[in-house]
Amino acid sequence: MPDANLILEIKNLDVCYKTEDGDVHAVNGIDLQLGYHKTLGLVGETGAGKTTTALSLLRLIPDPPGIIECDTMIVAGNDMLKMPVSELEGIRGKDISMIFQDPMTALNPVFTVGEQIAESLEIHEHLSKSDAYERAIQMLETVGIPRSRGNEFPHQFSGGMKQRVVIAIALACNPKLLIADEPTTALDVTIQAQVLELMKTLKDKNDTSMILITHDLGIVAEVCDEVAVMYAGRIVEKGSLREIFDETLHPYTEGLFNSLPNINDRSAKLKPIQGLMPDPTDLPPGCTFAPRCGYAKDECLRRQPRLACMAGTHYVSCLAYERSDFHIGRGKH
Amino acid sequence: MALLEVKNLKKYFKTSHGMLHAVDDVSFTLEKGKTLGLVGESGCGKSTTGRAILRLIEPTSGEVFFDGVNVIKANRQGMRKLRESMQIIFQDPFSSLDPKKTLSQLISEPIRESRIIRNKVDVEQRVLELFDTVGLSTRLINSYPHELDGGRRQRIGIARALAMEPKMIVCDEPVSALDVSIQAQILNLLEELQDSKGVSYIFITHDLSVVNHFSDDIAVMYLGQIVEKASADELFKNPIHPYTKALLSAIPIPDLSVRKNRIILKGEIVSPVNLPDECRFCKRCNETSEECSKGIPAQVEVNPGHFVACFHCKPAMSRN
Repeated sequence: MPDANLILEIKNLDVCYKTEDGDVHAVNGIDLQLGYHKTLGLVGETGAGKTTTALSLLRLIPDPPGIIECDTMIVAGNDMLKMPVSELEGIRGKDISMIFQDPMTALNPVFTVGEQIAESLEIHEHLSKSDAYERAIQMLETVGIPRSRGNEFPHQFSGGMKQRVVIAIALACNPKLLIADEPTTALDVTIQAQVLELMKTLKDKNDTSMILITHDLGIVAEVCDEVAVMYAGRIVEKGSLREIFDETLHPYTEGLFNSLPNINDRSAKLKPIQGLMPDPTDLPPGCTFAPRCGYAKDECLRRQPRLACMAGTHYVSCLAYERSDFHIGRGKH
Repeated sequence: MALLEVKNLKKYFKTSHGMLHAVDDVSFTLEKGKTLGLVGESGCGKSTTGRAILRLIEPTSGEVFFDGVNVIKANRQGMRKLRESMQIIFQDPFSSLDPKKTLSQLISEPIRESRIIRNKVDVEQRVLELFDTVGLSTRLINSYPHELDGGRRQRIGIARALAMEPKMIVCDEPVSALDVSIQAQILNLLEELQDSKGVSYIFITHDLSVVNHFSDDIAVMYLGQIVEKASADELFKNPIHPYTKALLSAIPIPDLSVRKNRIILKGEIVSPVNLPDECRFCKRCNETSEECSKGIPAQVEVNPGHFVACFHCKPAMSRN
């Protein structure tokens, strides 16, 4: 029975791409829950499986080569796995919508931005062409673009403006869940500040829940309520914003924080994580982070840790916490 | 004497719409063994400045003195000699390496080309040394760039720049294409090389937290001009130009105990084509007044070593 308080409930999600070079294990058994009106930050580096996770929520993983296996996947009250494709189309862009990373390629160059926003309104809200266009223009104004520009084409807009258009498309039908995949990575900092502010305002106004995919912990600190840190297709730590930032448990999360320059202490030496992310076609048998982990013991290379609850909503996947005296360097004063 | 002195450097491009002012009257100096950070948003002219200094693109006007030699006046031969001491690391480690050459060919190319080492065995020895310096395993010596990840490729880019034992390296967004954990590895490597070899850097970036960590001095650029220039400490503690303030306030900080007032700027950077004679920033500025459209503000020294180009800022006002 799905939990009515959750907009998102995933249990044991696996995504694997069958390629000629072998099976690419992009996502390996992750669990995620998200309450209504909350924002979840999905954090990790390139290849961690963040985008694949997001795409599989909309069942947008190309099959073949991609295969989604999952025990439960309930999004906004819909059982995404059992649903036929024809019904999925009624949900995508309506109940769940997505902001893609690159605003330059997410828009169709041969349609005006007004038409592109109106398209989803026509399909999902069954509005007439002219009514949909009028609503589309209103949406443009909401995201801070004058209505007179509705009949212009994407190439006439700057990067920041295009991303506003993409946000307008995503929010046009008041989705229950918004998935934003690195929405500001392609933008300059001052424009990033404008866009994040806009997303926060609109999300609060429409009571939308959000999954924000990013590699930038600074953005997570400003926007998210909950955080899940991904590494090599697994969630290694998850919890509330405060739990992740102030009571960090996983060595990888600690490594991410230590890699960032400290703006208040310029002389502090950066402590990078040694080595590289493992190849997803050939994951190590034990803990996937063990080969790069400064705390790793022999056992870590052999046995795979499970995501275990440490306190409240704080989960960590690390064998070291089976010993009660273990703690990482960060946050201990 | 400063290692590098740039005076009134300008680079204009002719376009079908008019004159594009990519770099407009930029001056700065760089001391030996120090790092100057050049920050700004896309299109502000920071990369063009870096390239114009090396004459990878010919400046429209201005002077560049490197170690007392006028770079702009150097002939072809002189330029070859100069480029041995001034090198560049490019932003994109994927497109800046020739895919048909092995790593050892890539690194030995500048050495063979400049004939600083003539003996083949010594060249090979030098390549192995360079592999070691940038922390690459020598078993990769016959690999091709496509076999490497971004971080390792950027190490090759660094090794190539180091091959000539340069006095100065222009680092054009060397870590922007890399993940944070790899970014920190590369920044540490660049720092170690500065400590051991005394090389100077011009560090071009849009990432303010990186530049703060890495630079001794910082110059903030907006639409082809330097709007504020100071030591890194001073700039972050006491930013004066409205653009610098907005830029600093926009940095997302991964620390929950820091809550700050964000200054949200209006609009976006305007086109650098046919710019009117007014403060370049006045269209987006929160503190703009009538005065601002009357000309281009000159740089004023508000504190020792701290220069600001803003009409609202007089030397006496610096103590507010």
